[in-house]
Amino acid sequence: MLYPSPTQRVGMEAKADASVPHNASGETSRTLWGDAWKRLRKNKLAIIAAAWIVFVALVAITADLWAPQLLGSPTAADTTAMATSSLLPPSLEHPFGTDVTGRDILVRVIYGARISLTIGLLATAISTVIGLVMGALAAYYGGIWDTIIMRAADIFLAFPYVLFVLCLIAALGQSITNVFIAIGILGWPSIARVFRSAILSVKENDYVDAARAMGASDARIIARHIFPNSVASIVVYATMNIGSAILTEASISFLGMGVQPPNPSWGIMIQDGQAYLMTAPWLMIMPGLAILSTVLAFTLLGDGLRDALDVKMKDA
Amino acid sequence: MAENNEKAPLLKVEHLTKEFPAESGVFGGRFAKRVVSAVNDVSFEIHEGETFGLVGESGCGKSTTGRTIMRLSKPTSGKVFFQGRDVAAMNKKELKAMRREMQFIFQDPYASLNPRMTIGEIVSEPMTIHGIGTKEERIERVRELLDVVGLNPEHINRYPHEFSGGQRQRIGIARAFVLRPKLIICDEPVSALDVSIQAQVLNLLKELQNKFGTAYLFIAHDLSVVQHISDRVAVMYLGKMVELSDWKTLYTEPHHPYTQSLLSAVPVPDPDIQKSRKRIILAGDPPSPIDPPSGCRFHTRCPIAQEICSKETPEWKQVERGHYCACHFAQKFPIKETHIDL
Amino acid sequence: MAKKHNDYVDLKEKPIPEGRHLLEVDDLKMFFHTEDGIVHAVNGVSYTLDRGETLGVVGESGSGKSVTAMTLMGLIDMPPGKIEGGNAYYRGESLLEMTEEQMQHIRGNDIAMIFQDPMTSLNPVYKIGRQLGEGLRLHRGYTKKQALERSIELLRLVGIPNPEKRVNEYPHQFSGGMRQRVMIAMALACDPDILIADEPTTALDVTIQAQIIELMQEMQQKNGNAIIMITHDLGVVADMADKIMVMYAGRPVEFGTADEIFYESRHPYTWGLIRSIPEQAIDEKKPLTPIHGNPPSLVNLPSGCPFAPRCPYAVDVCHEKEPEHIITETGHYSACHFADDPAFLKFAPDTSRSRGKIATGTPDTLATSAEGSEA
Repeated sequence: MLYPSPTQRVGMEAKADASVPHNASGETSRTLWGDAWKRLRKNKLAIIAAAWIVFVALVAITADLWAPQLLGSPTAADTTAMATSSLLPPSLEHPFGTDVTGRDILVRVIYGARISLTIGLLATAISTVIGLVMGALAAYYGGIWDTIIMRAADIFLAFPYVLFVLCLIAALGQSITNVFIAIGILGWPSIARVFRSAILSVKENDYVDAARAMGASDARIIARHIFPNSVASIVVYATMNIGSAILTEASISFLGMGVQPPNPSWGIMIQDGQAYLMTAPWLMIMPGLAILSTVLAFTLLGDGLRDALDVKMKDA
Repeated sequence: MAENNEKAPLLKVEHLTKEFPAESGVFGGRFAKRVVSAVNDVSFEIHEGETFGLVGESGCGKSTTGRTIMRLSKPTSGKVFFQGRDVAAMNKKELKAMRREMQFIFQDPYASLNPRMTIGEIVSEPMTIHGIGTKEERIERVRELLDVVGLNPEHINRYPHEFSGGQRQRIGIARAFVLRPKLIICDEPVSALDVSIQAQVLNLLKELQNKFGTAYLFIAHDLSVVQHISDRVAVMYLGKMVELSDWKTLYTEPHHPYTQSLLSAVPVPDPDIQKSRKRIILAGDPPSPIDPPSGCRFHTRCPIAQEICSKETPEWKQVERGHYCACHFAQKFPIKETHIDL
Repeated sequence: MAKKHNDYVDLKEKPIPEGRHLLEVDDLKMFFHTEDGIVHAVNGVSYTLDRGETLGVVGESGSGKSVTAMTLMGLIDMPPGKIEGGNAYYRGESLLEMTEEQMQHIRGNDIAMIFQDPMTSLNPVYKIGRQLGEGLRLHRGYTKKQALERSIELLRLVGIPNPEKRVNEYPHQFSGGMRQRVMIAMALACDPDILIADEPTTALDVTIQAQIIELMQEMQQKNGNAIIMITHDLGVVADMADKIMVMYAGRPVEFGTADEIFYESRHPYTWGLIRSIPEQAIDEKKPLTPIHGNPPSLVNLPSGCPFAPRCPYAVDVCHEKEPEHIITETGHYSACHFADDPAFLKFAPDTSRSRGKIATGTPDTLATSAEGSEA
């Protein structure tokens, strides 16, 4: 017979679905984070940003091993050399030039990166932890908890941020640690809001109900279903938040309430340099560029992560 | 499956009522609280191995009924007995044990699978939760079940987004069957799928039922789908059950005017029949469940409504053996819908 | 009809040239050029349509049924879309060659469209009356007052009670069914030649769907417009359509009169669709015969006939050669290699007609008993 009869095919029907190949990439076990990495790799801008961050971090971490030997101490003013090496413009010997006390600006920018990155990461870590807890409480328990936490967040957000940080540092006492703490503590409201709305939208999904219908405990639902699906937005937001924490530190150091001289910080360096804006502009431009490139890198990386982590955008 | 009637039913729903607070906008609690009467005084039984169809239009409370039975939401009043035990009175442990025997299949094949889990993890999750088997045994069972539902067991490590809607629904079905439950509540399991895929999934559900003897509570808005799969069918309107009977009687001798108009409104894919049959087209929209009409809730749209209909709630009574109807004129107006008589 | 604005020349006043049809779509091809490749969204669609006729376009999601209509209306962004061949003529003039300005006169005035979701197709910030009157003021140069009067008239026409009051209400005050009525009123406001309805009842309940279908038919009888009904529901087209086009993977696989499609179908995909629908059985239930597998991706179409991988009758030639349209004298075409092979056509599903239970001529016996219910 030329054509197989329909009944012959009915039996095969159930299996037929399986034979449709959906993905040419074969049967290798792949993780979602692996897929996200693959997508991130395609995004050139995000990769350049990530490379820049890694580079800055490596330079900052290893600075003790080579920078002072090559470029001189970042803090000690070389009183003897002061007369000769003060305010030198960028050259081979001092690629970023020198400041008024004859210190190499490159080495100060490198040591400034240590402080900026540490503050960025630690402050964001503090904000994120507080924000996650608050956001989760508000979203999961709802009702009065939600109202109290979210209104508190609104009040925090209604204050001028930098002013608030300055007040808190004044209250806690001036030290680098307190700068972390102040920036970190005051950063939680926006993270809490982002996380809360992420949880609320994830909670609406049928798979959460499906897990409940299976008999899953609350802890399991949160750990296996709600958290993994809402954490992506936090990863993205926290990445971008690092950049803004760096900016905040720079602003308050610029205002003289943050890191104290002679410790190098990008904010202080800009403040130091502002007197020489016309005569020795590299004093401001170099740390300024450092801030710009690093903050921009975190923002671009965050953007890239957002696209890479979005399951729905992915077309298998 | 009338012969099962002597045995204790698998699921017994008695006078189930579910109300939600209707939020009155910006002023919140300042006004007296109004409620959405989503399900009102619904009673029925499901026997082992049978398919009980629940049809109705959107907002009639059919999904809420399913969710309340599963205790995804708590009933306002009324009782649900599963295997003779009161679901509302169960403690956490008992509830968990019950959920081994009662599973759910969702409408949306996209929202019902966690996008961050592989299909192996998704299908084995019920076993993980209930601590069944070793990891290897679980994987073996998942592979076996994927094969049964027509998916390639080799795809166990893939993620939901790599599958089409119909394939995802198969994953959801595999997950529901992995614990070999006694009852599966299927909430519109095929309405998001294309016709050709819908037929695949309906056949699969039937096949699995024959294999495992599972009972279904099949919730859908599509009468022809419900008729195809169900042994008995109940029709809901605005939170109330208006008629219940075996599938054949319901489609040949519907007693309730709503059932009749619903049946006649379904377009039949056959131009000859479509042109020749007489149709009852209901006027207006279903009223809001916030302030349901007094008396019979259908009286505002009913083609045969009399004065009594707006005053008295019709009794839920047996008109024939196994055939229940809630209409004052149920027996006085037996209108045959012969158009189905192919 | 209401008086018309003087300085506007209506294309629909123009007589249809001798031997032409109101709408002729001829081998229309429109592909999307995307990063992932070329999406063959509309691939060789051909049909004709006259006034008073209803064309049903049936297919599963992604079969290109909506995109075809959007292409005719000039609503596809180009790029990524691109016309790759064929043409479409409205009253003898090519729709594809018109300027955007000309198309704006066509849209709403000569060809109107209603969409699936009545909840999002009305603008929530404007009153119903204003939205209804917009087209009239735009295309007909009505004054505000004239437009309002006509809006009330239109609302009454589509069966909205108390139109004088309703015309001043906002969309959220209307139910889904009522909004779809408003959409129909809006589409019919300028008395168009063609009404394209894209799944207009899919989001509605069956009892409301019946109301809307009845309304569309009533309006068609009054105005004599043609309807293109896009749907996935064979029941809806059986109810409304004179002609039916079945689409699969961007291609029309079969086109013919409703009777030809339902009772003399010549394409296995159409058969599969018919077999997939649960029958309203009376004695015993037969298992459904689904079409196995999934529709192909429009980027990587299989070679040969696009339906071949899912076709239970496919033989080697189906996988190798793309089938031509095999046309009968009545214009019924089928894109299947075996459409003219009588032995092959024996596989077609049983229909009520082939079983002879509903013989032609005496449908009255069916209707009488139901009449009592219409009190």
